[in-house]
Amino acid sequence: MTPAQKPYLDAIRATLQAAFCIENFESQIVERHNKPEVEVKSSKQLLLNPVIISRNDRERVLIEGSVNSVRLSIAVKQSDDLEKILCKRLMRFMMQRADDFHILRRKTVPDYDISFLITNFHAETMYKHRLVDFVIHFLEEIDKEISEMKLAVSSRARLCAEEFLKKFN
Amino acid sequence: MINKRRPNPQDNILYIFNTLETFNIIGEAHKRIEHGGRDRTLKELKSKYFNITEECNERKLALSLGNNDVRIYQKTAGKWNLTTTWSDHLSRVLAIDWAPTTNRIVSASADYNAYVWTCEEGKWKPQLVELQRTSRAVCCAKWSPKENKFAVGSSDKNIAICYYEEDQRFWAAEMVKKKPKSTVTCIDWHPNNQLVAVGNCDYRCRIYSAYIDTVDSKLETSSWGKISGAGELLHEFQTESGWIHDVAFSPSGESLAWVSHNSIISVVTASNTSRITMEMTSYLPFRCIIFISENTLVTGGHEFSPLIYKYDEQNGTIQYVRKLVQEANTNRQSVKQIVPYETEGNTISKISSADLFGQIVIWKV
Repeated sequence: MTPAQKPYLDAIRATLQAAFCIENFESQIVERHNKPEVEVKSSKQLLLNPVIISRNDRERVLIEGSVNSVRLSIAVKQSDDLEKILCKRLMRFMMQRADDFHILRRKTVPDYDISFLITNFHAETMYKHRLVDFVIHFLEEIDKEISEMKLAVSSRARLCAEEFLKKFN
Repeated sequence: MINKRRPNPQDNILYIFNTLETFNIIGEAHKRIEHGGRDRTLKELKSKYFNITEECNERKLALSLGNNDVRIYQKTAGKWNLTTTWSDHLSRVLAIDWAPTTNRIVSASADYNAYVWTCEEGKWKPQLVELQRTSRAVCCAKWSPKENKFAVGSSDKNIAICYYEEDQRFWAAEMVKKKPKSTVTCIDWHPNNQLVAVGNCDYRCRIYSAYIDTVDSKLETSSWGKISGAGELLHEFQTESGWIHDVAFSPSGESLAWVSHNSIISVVTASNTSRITMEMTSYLPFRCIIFISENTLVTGGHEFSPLIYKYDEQNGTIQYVRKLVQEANTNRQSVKQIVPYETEGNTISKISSADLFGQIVIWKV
């Protein structure tokens, strides 16, 4: 974690800790249903105010809380077209395997790159602080991951170009 | 089974009562001390009888592990052993309450049914409660202090006072008149057996009259207002925002406390219902609250360890006293429920807390 990132991540951590205070809640509309209220939005009373924590206009986190679920959406920093493509590919790769990630949402919230949905069933089987740690770790790593991939792509491109141009020597 | 106290331990057993007689004895003892609660009843019993089973001794535990089963554990030789498992519910069991003197258990589930379990000759028998107008999950259930009625609250914003219909032999339900506007999360009974306090997801806490003519002989007087018919709304208290997670009456029934999702503990006294004392805490939201004496509160919730607060009625303050010390291997998840475990005189000396990972911890306060 860079020192510049610290206040941003601390704010996210504190918000998540409060947002993860969720409990079992049965549907008021449909019998024998138990759905995440943040998704079905059956009543305004059961939702909390959504919070956006942003570092700059490109990097931000949206946290939507409700009585039994939390939806967390992340917009990752993308400074050029290459980063955009890389980010899109990486997120697509993960979201196709969302079932194995438990808390990952198959589709993203509009304007965000990746979304997580944490329900009370996750909170009952996983440690809450570990979930928060995971999200923070994810935020720390994702930027690094994308810049590393960007470097790998450009070095490979350089190699390819070199090999290609050798022919014209 | 209860045996009569022998003058000399070496003598033979004088008399063994059967189950029905046992209940009569317990009932009599209970009446003798003017409905003084479980522990005083036990004390009374112990002075007269000998060899009270674990059943009466409250060393049994009914719980559900977040699935369709209800399990009963019994403490034998310092260990909790699983004795019974019921799988009659079709969905997650959301509430269980054990009436210690009449030895009945009410269990409520997300399949919108509630069962009353009665112990007959060592076997538990279920009976369905007729909740005609409830077609959503039943979220909470609680026996009244005299154990002749219980209240249930459900996801379809309804509260029912249930009682046993002697003529037709089934558990009937009387719905409240003015329904709340959201899911009922918690219920507590006033010690006079005729008032219930409920907390809801619409940020409000309400007091209803729970008088049923067929069960209650006469109308009690209460400091919370005149009790009239069944299910009349007597009071409505609102906090700023935040779902109410738990309500509790004080042992005398003069004060009512509740905790809400905005981490505020609120207490209101019957003598001045317009003044709500609030304590804004810096902790994560609490999920449960109980009175351990007339002015001492214990709260538990997402903060893991139970906290003790002192309520000062004159100055209108709620003061933080201390946190129950957390040792290794105690609650690592948010506390879901706190119940009294043991009493000494009029105050509760031990409490037990249950957390989301299925751990139950007994604390000395």
